[in-house]
Amino acid sequence: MKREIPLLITAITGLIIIINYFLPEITGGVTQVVRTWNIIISSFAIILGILNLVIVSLRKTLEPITHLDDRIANIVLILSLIATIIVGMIYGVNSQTETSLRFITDNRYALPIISIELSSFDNNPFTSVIFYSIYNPLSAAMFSLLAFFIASASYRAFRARNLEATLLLFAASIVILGRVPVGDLIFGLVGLKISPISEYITAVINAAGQRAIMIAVGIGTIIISLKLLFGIERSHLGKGE
Amino acid sequence: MDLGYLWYKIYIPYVENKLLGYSLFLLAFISVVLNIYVALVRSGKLTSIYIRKIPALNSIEEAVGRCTEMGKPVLYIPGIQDIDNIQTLASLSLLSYVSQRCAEYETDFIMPVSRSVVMTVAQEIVKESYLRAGRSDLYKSDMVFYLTDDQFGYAAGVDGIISREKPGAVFLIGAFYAESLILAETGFSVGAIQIAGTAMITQLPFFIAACDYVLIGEELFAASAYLSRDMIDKITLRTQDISKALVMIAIVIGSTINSIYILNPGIAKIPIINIIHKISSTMLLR
Repeated sequence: MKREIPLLITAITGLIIIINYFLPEITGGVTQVVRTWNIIISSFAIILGILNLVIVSLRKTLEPITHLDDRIANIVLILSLIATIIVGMIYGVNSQTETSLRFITDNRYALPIISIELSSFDNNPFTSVIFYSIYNPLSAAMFSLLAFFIASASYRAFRARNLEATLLLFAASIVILGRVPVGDLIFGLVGLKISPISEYITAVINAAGQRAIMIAVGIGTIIISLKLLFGIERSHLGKGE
Repeated sequence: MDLGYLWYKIYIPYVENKLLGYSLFLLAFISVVLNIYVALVRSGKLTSIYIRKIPALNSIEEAVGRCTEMGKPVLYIPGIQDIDNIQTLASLSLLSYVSQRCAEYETDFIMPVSRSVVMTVAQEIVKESYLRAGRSDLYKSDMVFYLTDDQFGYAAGVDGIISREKPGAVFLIGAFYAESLILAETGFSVGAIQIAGTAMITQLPFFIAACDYVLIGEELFAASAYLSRDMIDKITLRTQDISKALVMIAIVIGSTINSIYILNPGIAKIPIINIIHKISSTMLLR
């Protein structure tokens, strides 16, 4: 029964969604009801997630075998979590922006120059300090790491170790040179224009490959969905082999 | 309800959106083929099928074995999407196999997740895998734990775990976005053998550049069937191939008829050519 009930729920919900997709005028807003249930269940599951995070972090902090680095990371995590919850509960999560208009008079000249300064300030420490001053810069810092990782990964990918890697290097060089003005300038010396070749590689060869993968992914998605509906696929319920 | 009105309600969405009919046809075709093969297997008429080798899946044993020899843990990342994403479900299907191998080889297993529903499902899967391997004594409740729903917060957390724990193998299987390369490059920096799998077209080049083995697109969905010994599981791969063949034939016929039509519009007078041209034009316009 432990597996049959989840399989039955999966089949019924899946069928409702499929019928709603193909007969939208008759079944009306059934999908919306299922989606609302999904949101409610997910909201309750977040509490489970936070509890798990606190328990695991506390255990790691208190265990004597935990490495010092790991212990510091877990202490920082717990303190940040508590601070965010407390500040959020006290001040709320909506920004309280105050806009002020200020007249500034500059008397350095023969005639005074009056300028207007419009400034806004967020009075809520949750949004102004935790969200805009800590969370946003940290997220941006993580995202910006990507630039350096792209450089190192490209360096490894473009090393001409075998025929395939050499072809990749050749195609990438054309695309890179075709995307910058200096590419056409260099190849213009021998009467060639590289930007159309770069455009052709991106718009035709690359797009064809991508579409092939997309079509196969679409079919794969249908197959795995049918497997779930028919109860053939059960390894996500712990069946395995 | 009046039958005429009911028919109108059924029919009108198909007039407004012609692609809906093609979708229904493809779904019906795949369902019929799948059920025919299931019937063939159950009747004993089909006992074996040829499956091409997928190196990324064959290397799972090697990756877990390497971790065992080096005394390092296995890190499994199921992507950053929730349980309603089909790639996450495909990843959880593979998780069952990987965690069972870890239990058999007595290798530590770490799985930080970014969605709490995925965490609860993954905990059950890992627990059952350890039970199946007869090593329930090795299972710890904190093997699968929640980090954060935030994309870059999760990437930072996993990067920290990789740097501190230095896993011998990293599995990046599921739906990934911009964090894919951040995770894969950090895994590379600690010398881990990396097996990735995703159906996100934009992230595939990053995984191919930074990982040792990659499950490209549909291979991710074929993974559980490939690793299974159950014939009914395996025949879904055959259904997938037949469906792909149907799409390939449709592309070849459609593009040929359209190319001839552009060169000679008079060919549309032939009824069958006219129908094929209209169908392929509808699809091309979308």
